[in-house]
Amino acid sequence: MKIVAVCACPTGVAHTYLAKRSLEKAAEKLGHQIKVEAQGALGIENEITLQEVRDADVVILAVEVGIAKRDRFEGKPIVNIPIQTVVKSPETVLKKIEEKFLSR
Amino acid sequence: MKNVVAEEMIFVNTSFNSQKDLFEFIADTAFGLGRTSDVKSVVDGFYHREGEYSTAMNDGIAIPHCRTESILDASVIIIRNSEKVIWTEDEECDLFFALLVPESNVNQMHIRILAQVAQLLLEDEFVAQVRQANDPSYIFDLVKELNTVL
Repeated sequence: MKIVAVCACPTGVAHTYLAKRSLEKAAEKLGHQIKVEAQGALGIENEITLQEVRDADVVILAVEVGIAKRDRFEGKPIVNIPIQTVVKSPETVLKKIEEKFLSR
Repeated sequence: MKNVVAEEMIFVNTSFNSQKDLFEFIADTAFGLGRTSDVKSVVDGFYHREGEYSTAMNDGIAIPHCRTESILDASVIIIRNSEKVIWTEDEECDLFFALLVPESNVNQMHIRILAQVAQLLLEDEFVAQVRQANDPSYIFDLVKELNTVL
């Protein structure tokens, strides 16, 4: 699958980046393409382009705060997941999404 | 400007038996080192952040953190407790990486270092080495390079 994801946590220092790295590692292991944008204390990093949104099968939002540029994802399938769940069990998260979207 | 990680902020084989004791120790330590101007606001900050959602990760690790105006220098305080401490109703932790974040974003490099320290906890080998260490200097050797990255 082609996945784009945004991670954002309240402090913007720990979970934002933990979730980003967790998703990247899990996607690599499970053979998915992923681009993860961090919206943290340092602003937007690794920003997802409109083309990447268009190409994506699914958008994961692991955000506990309001995020910038959310309108990019309008009309795309969006999965909202608590950021703590992404950090704790990234592979389970991706497997569930895979089941849901590949069976359609 | 103080380094983000320092050996004087690493503690092993401690015997805290509550989250409260731990938070107070971390805040006192930071105050003693001149890294915060106010103990209470740091303790309150930890509780406030845990209230949003628990900072416990897998494998008995927690990363309590807070961002307040009283924090003068970005700091990581590492504690490996002898016993598990009850963290939430269904989480117990014995390895703590506490992150103290200044309110100001001026020092972006320090914010980046804090983020990198947290990401080290996703590396199984790093966690195993920290767990085996009986000496703060050994843990410091594992993390000290982060002070100079970027």
